[in-house]
Amino acid sequence: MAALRRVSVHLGRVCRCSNRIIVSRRNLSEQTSSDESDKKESTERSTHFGFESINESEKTGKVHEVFSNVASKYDVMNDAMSLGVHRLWKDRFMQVLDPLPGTRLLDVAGGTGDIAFRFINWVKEKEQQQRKATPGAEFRLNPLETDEPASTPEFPSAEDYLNTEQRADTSDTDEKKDSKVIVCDINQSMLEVGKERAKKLELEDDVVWVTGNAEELPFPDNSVDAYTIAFGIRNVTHIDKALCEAYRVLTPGGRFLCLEFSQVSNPLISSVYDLYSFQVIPVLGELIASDWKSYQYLVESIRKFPNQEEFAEMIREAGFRMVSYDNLTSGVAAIHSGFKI
Amino acid sequence: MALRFIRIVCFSTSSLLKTAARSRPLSTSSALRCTKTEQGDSSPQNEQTSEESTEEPHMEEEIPESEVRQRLLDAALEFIPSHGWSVEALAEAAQTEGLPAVSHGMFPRGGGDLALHFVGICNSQLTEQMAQETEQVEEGHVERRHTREFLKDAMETRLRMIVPYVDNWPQAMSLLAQPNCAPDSLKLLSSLVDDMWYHAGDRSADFNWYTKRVTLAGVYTSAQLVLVRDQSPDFQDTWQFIDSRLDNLEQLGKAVRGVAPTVESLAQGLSGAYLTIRNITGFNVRNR
Repeated sequence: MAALRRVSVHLGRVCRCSNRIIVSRRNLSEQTSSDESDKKESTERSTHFGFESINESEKTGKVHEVFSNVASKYDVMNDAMSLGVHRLWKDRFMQVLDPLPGTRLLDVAGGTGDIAFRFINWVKEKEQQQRKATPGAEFRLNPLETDEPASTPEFPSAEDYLNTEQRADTSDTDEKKDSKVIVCDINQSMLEVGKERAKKLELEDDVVWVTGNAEELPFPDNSVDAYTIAFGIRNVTHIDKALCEAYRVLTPGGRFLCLEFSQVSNPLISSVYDLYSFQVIPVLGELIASDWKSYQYLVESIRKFPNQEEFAEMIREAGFRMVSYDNLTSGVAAIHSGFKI
Repeated sequence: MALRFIRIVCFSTSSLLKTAARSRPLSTSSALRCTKTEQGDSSPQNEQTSEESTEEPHMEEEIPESEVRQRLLDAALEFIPSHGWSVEALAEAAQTEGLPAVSHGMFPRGGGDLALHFVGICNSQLTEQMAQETEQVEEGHVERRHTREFLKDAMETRLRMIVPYVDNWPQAMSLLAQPNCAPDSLKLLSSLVDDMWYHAGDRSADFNWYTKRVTLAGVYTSAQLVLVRDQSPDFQDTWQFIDSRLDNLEQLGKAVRGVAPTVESLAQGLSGAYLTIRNITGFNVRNR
């Protein structure tokens, strides 16, 4: 055990996701038994599902089930539970990212598309401002617009979408790189809800929807400029793997941005928040979505998620630098940021 | 004085080292960090030995965070005339270094960070020049100049550094005045005037220390404002303005010193009057 610890400390900046022994170190510490020799890969490792303890292999399935149940009422419930404040959080999130036209964004666990739509509107707004400032320049507002006639309505695959144009240096030409956004979610029902919303907002051509697991993203290395995950990372079974995958798909200089519930340090606010979480939210879940258990899982999973500093440390361990966080609403939510540099 | 000499040497060697390292693009800093070797079911001992062997010579050192920021800020300076003091300038600079535009997020204050960086560079350059002159004076190569002349020269040198960006300097000034940048901007200003006075020869240890710096800071700030509106050839109006303000300062100093005896005698007169009145009225006098 001591040897393992020495190795894990020595690894420093090396990404830990490929090293299974290091992944198991965290789970080993969760087990209370001191019988080390039996704790090999053959025994099932346990993890938390809210306050419940389950096997790791079951967690992904159970989370999938939760989100399949809530998908249709997800947005309504968000508004009801947070009294609309989640919109402010997401607006602030996009303000922090401040993407310029030409950015490729991957929004993971982005199910119903909140972040993706904000990204598109933000970038369009920026392009308009730029157009007003320099009247002669040409911009392509519709990222999927090509010179070929659109014969089939099907979307290109995610990889094609990312590689459709030369990413060579365009600084000496007037042609601007197009902004792209891909929404990746493990749950197809959430993506379907997102697609419907996109149709209503008339943004259906601007987003690509991909099913995928945050721990094993179906994208090539160094392919996106920004990776965002809003209220999704606490549902991932192996957060360190998700962080490593984020590191892998980001291009050097790319930004990792995570919006997630976090710990409230102020005891007064914390007591009000706890009361609200455990007494009001599951009841709202039952009334509006007829699903007490999913919302019980939600509030419990928030408590189980590491606090701001610990999560920042996890992000650093994955290899990111310039890691920082901002609290929102005194710590109810936090935006963590890191760069692959 | 020896310390200042050492500072200059350190500054120049560090800048030499930076230029040496600058040849490596920023995008390679992260290249080899996340190892994706297929490890399988290895035992702890194998882990340890394979770990020691992964400290390979081809694993380049990562560029320190502060250096990454410095390089991006330095590169952004050339985009200021076209994009202003803004995140767009930072994004363009990032792209020339091979990084995506989102890297401007490394600077949460955006244009403000850029302005602070620029002010810091200008201040360091000025301090270096002044220190060189002071050193020469101390070694006896050059005669020490009159304080007023030295200050005028220092102000002119410092303001001339702004001239290449004078067209959008008002934007920088407004960014520096915002609450997220104001404390740092004030710190830079105070260290600037402190250095100017120190190298002009001021060694005062009383309240004069504060008045001198505050008044010079006032002169500098107002001179900046004149500079951005100045349309005269080679900004002659600004240099004349500085001349007049420094004249004012001198006169103010003389006036304060001139008034001192009057103030003292006035104070004595007042305390005498108070004592007389107190004795007459018998107020608060203890009978022994």
